[in-house]
Amino acid sequence: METLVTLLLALPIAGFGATALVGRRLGRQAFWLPVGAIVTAWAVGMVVAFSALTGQPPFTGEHGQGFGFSLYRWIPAGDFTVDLGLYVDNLTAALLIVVCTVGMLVHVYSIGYMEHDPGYWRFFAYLNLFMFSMLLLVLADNFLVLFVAWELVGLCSYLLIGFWYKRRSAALAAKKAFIVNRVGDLGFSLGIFAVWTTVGTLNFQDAFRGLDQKIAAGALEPWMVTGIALLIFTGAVGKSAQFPLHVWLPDAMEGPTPVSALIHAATMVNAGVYMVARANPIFAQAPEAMVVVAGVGIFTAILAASIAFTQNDIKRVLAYSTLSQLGYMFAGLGVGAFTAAIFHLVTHGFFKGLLFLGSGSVIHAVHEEQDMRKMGGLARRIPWTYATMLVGSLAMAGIPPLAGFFSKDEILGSAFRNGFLVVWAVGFVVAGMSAFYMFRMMGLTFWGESRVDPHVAAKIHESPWSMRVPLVLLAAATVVIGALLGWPLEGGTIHAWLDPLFEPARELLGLEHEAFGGLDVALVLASVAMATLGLAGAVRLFGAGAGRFRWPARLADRDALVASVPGARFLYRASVNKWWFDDLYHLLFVVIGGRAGAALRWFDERIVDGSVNGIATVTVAAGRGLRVIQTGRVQNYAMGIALGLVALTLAYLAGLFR
Amino acid sequence: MTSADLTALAPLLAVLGVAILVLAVDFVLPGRDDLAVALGVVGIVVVGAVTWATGGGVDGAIQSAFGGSYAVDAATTFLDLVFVVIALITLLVAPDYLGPRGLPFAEFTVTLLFAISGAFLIAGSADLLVLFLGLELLVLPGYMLAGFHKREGLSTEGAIKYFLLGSFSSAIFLFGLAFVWGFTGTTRIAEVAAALAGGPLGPGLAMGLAFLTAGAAFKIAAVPFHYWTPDAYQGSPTPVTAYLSTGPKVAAFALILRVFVESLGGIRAEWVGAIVVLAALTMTLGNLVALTQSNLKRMLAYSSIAHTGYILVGLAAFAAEPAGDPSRSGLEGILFYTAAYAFMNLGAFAVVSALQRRPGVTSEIGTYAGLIRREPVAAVLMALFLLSLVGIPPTAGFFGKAYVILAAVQSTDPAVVALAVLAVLNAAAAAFYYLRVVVFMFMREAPEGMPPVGLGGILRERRLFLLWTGLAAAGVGTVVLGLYPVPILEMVVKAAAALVAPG
Repeated sequence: METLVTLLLALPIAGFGATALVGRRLGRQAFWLPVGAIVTAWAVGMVVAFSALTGQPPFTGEHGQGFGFSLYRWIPAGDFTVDLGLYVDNLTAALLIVVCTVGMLVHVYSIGYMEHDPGYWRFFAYLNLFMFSMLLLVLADNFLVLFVAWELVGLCSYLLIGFWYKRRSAALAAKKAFIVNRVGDLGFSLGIFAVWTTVGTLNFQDAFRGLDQKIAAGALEPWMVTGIALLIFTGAVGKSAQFPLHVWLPDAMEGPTPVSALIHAATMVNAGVYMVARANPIFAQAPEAMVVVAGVGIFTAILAASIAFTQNDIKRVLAYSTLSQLGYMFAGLGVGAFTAAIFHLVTHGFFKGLLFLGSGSVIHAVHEEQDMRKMGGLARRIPWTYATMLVGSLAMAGIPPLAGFFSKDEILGSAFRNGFLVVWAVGFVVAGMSAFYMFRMMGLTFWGESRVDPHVAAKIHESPWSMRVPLVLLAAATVVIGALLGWPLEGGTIHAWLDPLFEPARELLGLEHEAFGGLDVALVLASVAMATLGLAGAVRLFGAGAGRFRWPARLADRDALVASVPGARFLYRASVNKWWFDDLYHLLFVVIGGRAGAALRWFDERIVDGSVNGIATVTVAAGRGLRVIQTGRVQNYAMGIALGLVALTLAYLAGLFR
Repeated sequence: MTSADLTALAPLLAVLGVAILVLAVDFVLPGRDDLAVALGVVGIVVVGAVTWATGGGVDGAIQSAFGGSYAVDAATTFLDLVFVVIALITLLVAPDYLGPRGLPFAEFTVTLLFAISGAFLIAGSADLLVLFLGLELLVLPGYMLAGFHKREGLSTEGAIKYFLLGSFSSAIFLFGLAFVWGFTGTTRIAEVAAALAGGPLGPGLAMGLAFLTAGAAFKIAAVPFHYWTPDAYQGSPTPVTAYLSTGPKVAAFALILRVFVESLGGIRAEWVGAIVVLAALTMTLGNLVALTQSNLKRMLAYSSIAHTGYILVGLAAFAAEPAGDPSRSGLEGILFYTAAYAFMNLGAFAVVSALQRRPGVTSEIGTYAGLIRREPVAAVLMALFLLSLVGIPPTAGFFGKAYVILAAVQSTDPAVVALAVLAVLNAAAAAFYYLRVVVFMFMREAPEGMPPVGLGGILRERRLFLLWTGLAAAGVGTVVLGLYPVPILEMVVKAAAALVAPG
């Protein structure tokens, strides 16, 4: 098993190295090595994941205890030792399934999608590096290795968002993602420092045990645990783009679409969710922090959903829906429904990966156009893309029996039963909103009249097979995975896998397992009804068949609808302008911060640099002065040595060196 | 002579054997430099294998020869392996430099190997006289190597200065040994240590200590005994400079370990102050002067002085603990640092050597502008070595600095803690002049119309192939010691244990 897990990391990094070295010479053939590496890694990953999930040796421990080993001792420095340790348990396995499968399919998809790009090999090299980093992230057995991987995926994200670095907006977006993430990472690193100083180890299992013992012994104030949990959560907020650090993700859509699918929908942005789930023993000790997690999550969910209503860029709609779904996951974690949150992570990884790849296929078809106002009526022209995206959208909307329905409803149900009624209520509304904006997107893109530029319209074509196959496979996964893992409700396979892992945390929080009952049926029916309502509304407003159904007059027309609702105009403007967050941050950090920076710069240049330069001048002058000693005359040197010897002798005799 | 003697002497005999073989081959088939290259490189690898095998790997028992005046313990084996690495990389890098300048490579190989045999003798000496013998055997070929470029004025001048001052300091050191002998009546290191344990320090022994300190300080090029260094380093052919800045320096530290740590360890409270002062002066002055250099060779010469200072910090940390204290982290720091230093410093000099007098490159820093476009791999390697010299993780230099500074920080002596602070400040100042080279290589544009440097074609030209092998070896060592220091660290721990607990 050690070999397999090591291989899992070795394959993508080897692919990266090989592609980086020789990729340029391979030209259009550059994909063989990296794609081959990832396909193999996928197979290895599946073996590892299923051995873990089915409890094959060496995964035979109690309570979902995983299997860990150390590749080698990385930092031996007295008390501070860190191993490059890897750890696989059922949580890791669940993540492995998503990361490997979506990663593999995105690699295959990219063969076709990036075909005409001059940076073909560079793209695959980066993708492989990303796969390595992401796998390291989920396999890490301690905070430091996790953090290194965390930064590595951040680096890859930066490189890939800015892949078309000659385009100014892409370069800016990459920079924005990197800088916003620094804010979260600062908090995360402080959290790691805090863990180290309180328990003296960074290994997950040891650290959690140590914290529990300290708390049991009363050696740790509750506020300290809450502080650690919140600091760690700050990192998750950055990486998973939650409010108030959510602004980078929509801009990240400047990257190539496969990147958006892989990194900014299915894997990297989930790292925050994974990390909070991994650190569940810490969060379980800090219920206040859990409330914050739930609050931030559900607020992001509704905020992002409201913005998604009015976006016209197909990828931005998906980006905001990703934000919103990540918000759901955090809400799930916050209310103590860890299993449901991870379940949603898995299903979302599949259907959102599908939707992004589908959007890539659409963009490809209409010649790199992303504005939905210039699409429309594409259903017949690109039927494969349309069918698969329809599946993805239905899943996203929460229509049974597709993937999204099971996981989303588990989160909402848990929120309700664990007493977080506000979270449930907001989530309930967001469910309807999600269905609405998804089908607004479908409508604008695929239904109705074609608004495509006539020059382009003639050349619309379905994507090559290398792109269609991943779409179909992901669609198939989206259809089955929900029922496969989530049926029967609240008691599906996913619970068998993950519940033992989170059991201690649930006990600490005082959460009971309740049998699935009538209340749950009511909740499920309500949310399905809500989703259907949203869906129907979108179909009515943006769909083609307006005539078949007799609608009340004031709902018959979009403008009339907007005019009829009080405050709608304001809401519409707020949504289009993303609630002015970008402008607010621009004002705060660029304008005001820039002024402050300029003032500091003046201070720095005149006062600080002045003194530093002064010191440097003195230093350099001293150096020049000392150079004079180096006369080049051997007599002087001998004299110097003799003097040194005399000085040493006198000092020894006087006992100065004692 | 018994077979046990032979086992102990095997590495030493192997070096001498290879040296004599190359000499004989050159005598029979004069002018076959390629043969000398092959013999030298293969021979030194064999020497390394013999050292490893007869040393029993890392935890071999102590074996002695010549009635106990030469002994091989874990420290000897470790240091010998460092010397082997130094010799190997030097031999790999040298042909590319010497060949085009018409300098005979066979003689270079032979001279270098004789010097290495002296270093082996120092590392394994259990008697002060053997140690001195080793010292002379080490430095005499060094003088020859410094003046290897006979027709070049600078080379000869540097060699003469090196020779005169070196002899001067050898005499001083020998005088110190005579004092020690006079007061203890023995030259055996173990017996000296026993005789000195606990006794008060008379004025005679104090004189002896002063002479020993001055002599050793000269050999490691500590301030204020460093004057010979810049002139000798700059004048010598660059591969020789690479060797001179590592081989004799590490050997001199081996000498310090044998003399100061082993025989004078019992009275370490008497000399710790001298080491603290020397370390402080050496780091600071080396870095200050390096700051103002615009010639890379000279800058690296001064920077090697500064590195001597960092290693001395480890010695100070060891010496500041009372005699008999079990903590050896200072010694471990010294040993690890020597290995790390050998790789990174040789690597940096090797790049300079490779580029010197290629189209448009001299050892002036300005000519390195835009190197990343002209010779990308060399530029990246140079950046790696320089970052390691700065001490940036994850490179060998980082752990080297980390260990000596950690040892010093944990000291109970406030002076040594202050020394650690000074070392950190110095490391920060040093970053400036190392990174300046990186800035030139990566961020400045080369002048218009510069031809490529021409280090490609490694498969066509044997010399270039050797050169790149040497550079790769240095690069791999620098990275591996930074990423996976554990195996070396285990050897270092055993070597340090062998030094303070002679059995």
